[in-house]
Amino acid sequence: MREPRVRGFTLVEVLAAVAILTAALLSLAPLLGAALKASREAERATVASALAVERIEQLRSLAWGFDEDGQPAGDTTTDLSGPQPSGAGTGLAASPPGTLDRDVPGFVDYLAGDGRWLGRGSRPPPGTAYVRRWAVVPLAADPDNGRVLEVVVLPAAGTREPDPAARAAGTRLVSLKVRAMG
Amino acid sequence: MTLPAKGRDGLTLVELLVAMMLALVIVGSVAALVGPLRAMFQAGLETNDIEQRLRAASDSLFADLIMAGAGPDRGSRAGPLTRFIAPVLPFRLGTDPPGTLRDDALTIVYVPAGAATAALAEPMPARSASVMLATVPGCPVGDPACGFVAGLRVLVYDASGAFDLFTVRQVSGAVADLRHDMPDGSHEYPTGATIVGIVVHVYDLDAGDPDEGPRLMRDDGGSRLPLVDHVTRLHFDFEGDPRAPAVRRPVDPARPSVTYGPAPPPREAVSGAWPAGENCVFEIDPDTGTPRPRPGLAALGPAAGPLVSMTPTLLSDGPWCPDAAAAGRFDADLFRLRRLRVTIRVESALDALRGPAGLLFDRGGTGRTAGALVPDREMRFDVAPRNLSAGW
Repeated sequence: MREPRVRGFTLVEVLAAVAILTAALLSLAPLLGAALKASREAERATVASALAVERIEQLRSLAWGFDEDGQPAGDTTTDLSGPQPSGAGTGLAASPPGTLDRDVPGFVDYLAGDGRWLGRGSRPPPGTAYVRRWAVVPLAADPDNGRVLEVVVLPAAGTREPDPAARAAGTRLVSLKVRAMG
Repeated sequence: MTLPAKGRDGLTLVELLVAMMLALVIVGSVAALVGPLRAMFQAGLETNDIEQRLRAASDSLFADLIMAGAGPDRGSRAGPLTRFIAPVLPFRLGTDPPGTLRDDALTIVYVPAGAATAALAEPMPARSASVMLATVPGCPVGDPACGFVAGLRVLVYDASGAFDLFTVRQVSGAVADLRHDMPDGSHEYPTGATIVGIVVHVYDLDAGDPDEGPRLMRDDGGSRLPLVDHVTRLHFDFEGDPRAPAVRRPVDPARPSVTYGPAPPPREAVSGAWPAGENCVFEIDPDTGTPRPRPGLAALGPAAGPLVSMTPTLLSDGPWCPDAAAAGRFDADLFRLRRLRVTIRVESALDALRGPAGLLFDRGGTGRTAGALVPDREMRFDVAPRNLSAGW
């Protein structure tokens, strides 16, 4: 009886197999990158929405009611664009038009990636990750007593944002405050 | 049978050595990658977990604070609780001694939507007792107990701002047997006082045992349970209305209306331990005979100006509501509260992912490899409780 001719792999075959395996494994690497990107994006969205909620709550907390003589009274001096609220702003008085579309001092501040306040004014300081703008608009149905509060948080120019539509829309929150008797 | 030596080409020694060397290199490089990747993977998971715990803590506090001060939707005292009591208290109501001030604990009080509401049909002392209930418009048809059931936590309060917490032990017809959940007092609630189902949530930190780490606790009256693990810091800052409370003009002596806080009683009526016509917020001006804010509640800044930071002194110097003898007394300045800033700091649950105690770590861990550490995360958020910022 004659044994069939049995051959092992040659070195070239082994090297080729290893190369193919390596290429296949490397092709999975982008998945890891995608997962990391998604995780970063989720964190960015979380911070952006927290920043928007913070400003909405600060706007909502400003006085807006009637004084002891029954006359409409409210906060028309608070400036929320600084690290601490100050009395050099316009409070819940109607904001000038376009404060959500461009950086208007008094209605914009700039924040770092972890949400720290970095600055205000018409130009973002270095390190800005988020631009937060807001508007106080009289309610059309009751302009004397109603205020529509709107906040938009945008990723700063230059930060990585894969989706241009998401960059343009940012994180947007709207709330309503109506003058009420306390 | 003998196997022929020819035709069986195995590996030569050189080929075997090369193959072994290649295998060694591949296995070695994989092993070198696995260690750091595993640490990164673990750190990534832990980072996500920390963020999730921060969200859980902030969501719970935010939801409660938004509701703080909501009152009954029926009965003679329908409307916000803020017209009678301060619904956000910087201490653990029922646990801390009266007059305590803390910046790391909070009691939040509100009436949930549709809560059982009734009036007292007879006077009731501020201690465990059985009490007859009187129905109010909106009570469930055919239910003399007006929706009250055993186990329900209830608040009893009256026009003077006096309040006490009870738990319904049992209900029989229109009679509810109540267990007092606060130190007994001498106040007697008059007929017509309001009794309503209530949510009282107390938040504070528990140091826990060293292995488990500190925890954020929430006490709902029946049980004090951990809400979020590994919370190292909980801090509350209070911002308030700069204006003093005021009685609206023209003053209606029979039923004064105010800009915020509890309205003073009618001129001849006695409220708690105060002289006739006065309460913890308003006193009678001897010159005009009309109510004015107590001296301790003066304006703190320009009328249309920004909110002011409420200092520990401001929150602990009185006057006390409903009066200085009440078990649940609180500083009248708490009626000014318009916004809270909440700070929560969460650490990694794994000692190996925490480095030495310092700026990045409130509690030191055993980790020493810079790339595999997960620093504590701190979150700050502002809340304007809707029932506190609605007025003026």
